[in-house]
Amino acid sequence: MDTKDTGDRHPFEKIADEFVLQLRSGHTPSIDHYAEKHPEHASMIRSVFPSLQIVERVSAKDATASLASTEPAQSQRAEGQHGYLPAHSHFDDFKILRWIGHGGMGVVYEAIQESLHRKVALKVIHAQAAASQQSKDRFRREAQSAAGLHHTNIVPVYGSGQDHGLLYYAMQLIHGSTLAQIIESLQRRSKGVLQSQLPIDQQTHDALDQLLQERTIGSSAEPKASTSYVKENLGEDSDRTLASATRELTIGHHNEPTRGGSWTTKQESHTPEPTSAQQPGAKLPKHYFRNISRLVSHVASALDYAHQSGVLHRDIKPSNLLLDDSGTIWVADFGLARREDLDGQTQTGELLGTLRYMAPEQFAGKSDPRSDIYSLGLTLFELLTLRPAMDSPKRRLLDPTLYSQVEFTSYEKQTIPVDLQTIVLKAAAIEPEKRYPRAKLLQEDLERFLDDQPILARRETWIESGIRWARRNRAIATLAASLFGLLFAIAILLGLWNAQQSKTLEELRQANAFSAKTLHERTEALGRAEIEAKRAKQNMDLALEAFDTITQNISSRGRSLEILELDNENVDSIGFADAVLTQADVQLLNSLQDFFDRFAQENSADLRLDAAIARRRVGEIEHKIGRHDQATNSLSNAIKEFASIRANKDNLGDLKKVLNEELKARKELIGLHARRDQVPKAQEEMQKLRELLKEHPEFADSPEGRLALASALSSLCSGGARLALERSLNERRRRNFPPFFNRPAGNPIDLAPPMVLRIQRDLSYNTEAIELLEKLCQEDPSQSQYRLDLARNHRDRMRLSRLLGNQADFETSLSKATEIFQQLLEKNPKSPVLKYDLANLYASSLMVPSDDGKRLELAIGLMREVIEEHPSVPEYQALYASLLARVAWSMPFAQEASTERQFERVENGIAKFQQAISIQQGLVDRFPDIPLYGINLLQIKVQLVEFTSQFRRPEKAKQYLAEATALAEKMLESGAARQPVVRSILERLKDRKTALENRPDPEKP
Amino acid sequence: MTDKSPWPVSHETGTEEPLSIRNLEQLTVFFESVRPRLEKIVRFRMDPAFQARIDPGDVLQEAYLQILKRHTELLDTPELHPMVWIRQRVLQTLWDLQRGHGRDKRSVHREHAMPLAGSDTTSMTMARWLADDVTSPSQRMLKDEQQQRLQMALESMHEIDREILAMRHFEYLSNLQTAQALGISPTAASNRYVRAAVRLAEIMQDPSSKEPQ
Repeated sequence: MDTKDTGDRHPFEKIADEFVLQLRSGHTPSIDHYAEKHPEHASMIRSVFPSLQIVERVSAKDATASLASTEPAQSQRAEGQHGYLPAHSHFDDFKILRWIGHGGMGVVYEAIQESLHRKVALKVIHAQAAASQQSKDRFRREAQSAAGLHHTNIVPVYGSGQDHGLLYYAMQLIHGSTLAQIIESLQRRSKGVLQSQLPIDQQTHDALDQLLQERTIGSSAEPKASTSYVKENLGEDSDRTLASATRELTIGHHNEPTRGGSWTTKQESHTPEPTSAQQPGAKLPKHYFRNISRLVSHVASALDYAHQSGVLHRDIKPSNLLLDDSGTIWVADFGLARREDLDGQTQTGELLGTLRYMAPEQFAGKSDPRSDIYSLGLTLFELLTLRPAMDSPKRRLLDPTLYSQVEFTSYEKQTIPVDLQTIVLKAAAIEPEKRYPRAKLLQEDLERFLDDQPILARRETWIESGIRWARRNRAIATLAASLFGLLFAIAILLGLWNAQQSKTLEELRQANAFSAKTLHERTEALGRAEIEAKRAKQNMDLALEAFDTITQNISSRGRSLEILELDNENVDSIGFADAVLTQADVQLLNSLQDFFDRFAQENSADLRLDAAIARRRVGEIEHKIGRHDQATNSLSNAIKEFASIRANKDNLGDLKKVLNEELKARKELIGLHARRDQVPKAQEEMQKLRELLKEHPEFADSPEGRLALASALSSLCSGGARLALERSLNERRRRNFPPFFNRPAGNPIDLAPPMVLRIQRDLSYNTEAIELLEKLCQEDPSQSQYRLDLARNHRDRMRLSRLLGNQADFETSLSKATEIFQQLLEKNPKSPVLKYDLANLYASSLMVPSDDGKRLELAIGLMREVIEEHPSVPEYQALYASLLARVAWSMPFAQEASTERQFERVENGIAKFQQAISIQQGLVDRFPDIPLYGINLLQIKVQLVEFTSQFRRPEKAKQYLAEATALAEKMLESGAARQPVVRSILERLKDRKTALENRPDPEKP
Repeated sequence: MTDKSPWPVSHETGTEEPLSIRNLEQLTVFFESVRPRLEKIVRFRMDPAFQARIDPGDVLQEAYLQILKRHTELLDTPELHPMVWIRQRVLQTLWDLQRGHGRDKRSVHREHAMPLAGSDTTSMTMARWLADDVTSPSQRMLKDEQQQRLQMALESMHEIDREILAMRHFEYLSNLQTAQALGISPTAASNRYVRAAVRLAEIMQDPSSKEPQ
């Protein structure tokens, strides 16, 4: 073969090939030598070979790296632990004949049981090497109980055992196809693929034939025991058929059978002619429905038998149901559902296959006979519709109860027998108590359907009435329903929910469910539209309220991190909005946005205010996920809508509420502009807000009005402060100031004059906000909210003063903010938020390492308390880590100056850094998709480099530099977010590296 | 440069690779013998977005199962080099995994027509690997910028030429194997390789001055 190839090759390519092979074999061939040897190619050799050398070096570098990393895996394989190779020819009494297939749990071989001389299917469970003996024992116990099942439709299990450290079990070999394969073939068929062009295996073809024929299948109940057959086609691997089928499909479209020749080129595919319905896209024939009803009723009977014997299947799905040649359906893998304790590794794709059919309660680790009934319901659904009941199995992880509802499309509703639809809906009801209590009842209902008797399952009346109701109030009904699912999904994802919050949410949910139920009952009883609308409105209010809680939670997360960013000087220009949102958050917020979008479009008169509020929320969400233009748009629209509601004089009773909501929208818009550095726009909006208040002097004088004004002012100035800080930091970095500690206020950073002006203006807004809030506090000292806002404004002021170098103002603000936070803390000594706020205030007030040690200590103390009580809240840990880093910096600055002590202190500093790094690393591990954490980690590592090089530990500095560089490069390579930030850090690291290398021989301590 | 290379030295003369495979057993032995090379291919071809999530070893395991099932295809086409066929199965598996990741495994649209070789990734990966290495003092530009330039330059090459470079140097395929994998004649593959190598040398010598044409 290869000899063929030596003839007509380009001479230079052959020379290059020789050169490259020499390189690969570890030699260092001389380019000159090659050039001399091949004078006719000398110039090309000289110009091209150096590059080839580089390319080969790069390529080999990866190769060796990978080789090292795969070695253990290979030795594992050699021991046969992965089991995909029949590494052992025998398992106890069973001799492996050949490989048949592989399923979710293991590999299946055709084997012969030598003592009994019978052929069996032997399933060798893979990857259980790490499983505990306990779970292995449990597996065996369950396999044994499954072996005790004797039913016409259950694949007999002959036994199980353990050999070569691997678990296996033996079962009867079934000659047939899985329902998954059949469904796939039917899908293709209904997609218009001509049967003749598909390489379906013969068994599937036969099975298909049976199903589509008008004869009754599966009606013979004769046991097939001793004469049963070989070959079980396990489900998961039907990909191949599908894969090649699709390719065939493409070819098939080009070669119409009529055009001749193409028939003969398709030798490899069978040319099955399954009876009737040959037309592409033909509807499923009526007897198909009857045939599958019969099959499923047999499965139900098998399930009921097993359930009565105390065995659950746990993994009913089409690929575990086998249809043999005689039309008998078999349930395989009883009680052997994929078990996490046995199989620690999650294998790509396979878990999803199972997720798809799992009952919602199984996600919570509960299962009972009704869970099997649910899975069977989904299987029936799939057989009826030829599409999976759950299209996104992964979403089910978010909220199984939400994403477990089966729904027929309107086309399916027309074409599938109504009784079968009803049976599916009952079997696959989300709540176990609404399903068939026993598989037997499902079986009987299917039999009634087959006998054309009325089935017992009834759609619950409130559903029916609910549907009628929903038709009239479609928007509200569907929105209210989907909202609650989203709320829960968010709650789960946030993972920050304390018990109280989730309790509130649960109460809300129950209230909603209750009111929905009463609503439906009433609807049926009275059928009066007004009541429905009123209830719906109430539901909507509840929903909005819950939504508020959720967004507040997200925003508070955002806020705290945002503050942290403000304080963390080394965080480069991390964008405001999305830094704290995980991918999942963004996805959920997007769905919420859709929700409110649709809601906002629903412009019915009495819901107008809600719609406008919803519009505002859309804007807030868009702001959060960084869609600034859309956010501006939504907020402006919301403001317009509020204005037009105000213009309508009929709603005077609500005026205060409308104004309040409108001001929130305006405040958000101001903050948005300010943070985007669009100061003129922000000021313009501020002006409008003031005018609005002027138009409504009464409201403007009310506490709400003043609070609204104050919070608008503070969002106007905090955006500016943030930007100013960011710029000054960049400046400072350029000048190589020691990192982390803030400059003494007496020595202001050189700010560009426009920036100084801006900060001064921000200060004036801040002054105004503080005045308003102080007044409010005086009037009503009991309102903690006023005081909290006031303290936060003082903190902003402290930061602004620091930027301007106004030491006196800085100290005043610091002490005022401290005082208020401390007072609030006295009243609420347990509040983690207050402790966090105070610690954060201390952290951002640090100036000189030697002077501010006390506040640092206090901050550390506070954070320790907080973390002790709330160990898992990421913000708290992040702040703690950053405080530790500051402690590290303060270490070398203690008073005594003896060299010995100095050495020790630097070592202590390094230890603190390492502690901070490990905390931050934990956050990165937990929240890999929050870019901020990764960057914080990198920043702390960079600081450690700076620290060690500043305090003369060049060797360590080099080591940490290499680590930090590796991390930064890894982040770049993995395509992590915030590439520009990482790149600029990397650039700094390079500078630092040059500096380290060029440093004249440093003193050794 | 390592002292001892883990790679078959003389693939072109074919002493280490069986020229034809007559049964499953030989195929298995061959597969095991080229496993490190296949892992390298997988790593090279893998979409960077999946690197954290897909382990090359798992891809090979999955591919091996496919190979077992379809091995008759290979036995039926003795003129095809086994390495080429196995590589195709491995890459197909990789693409399936990448496509299937986060989606339903059994989606109806699973198999697309086999692309040339995931060529959008090729130039990116090559550029990335090369940029990692080229850091001589005379080229003190940011690595990522360099990578981008390299990538652009590579993208400016003819798709097939670029693939040939990738296969020859990053997948260690021989000229014949490359030709078979691309469905072109060995002569064409050889000529194109020369053209591509010259172009590559131009790019590498001065990545900053070569803008894509």
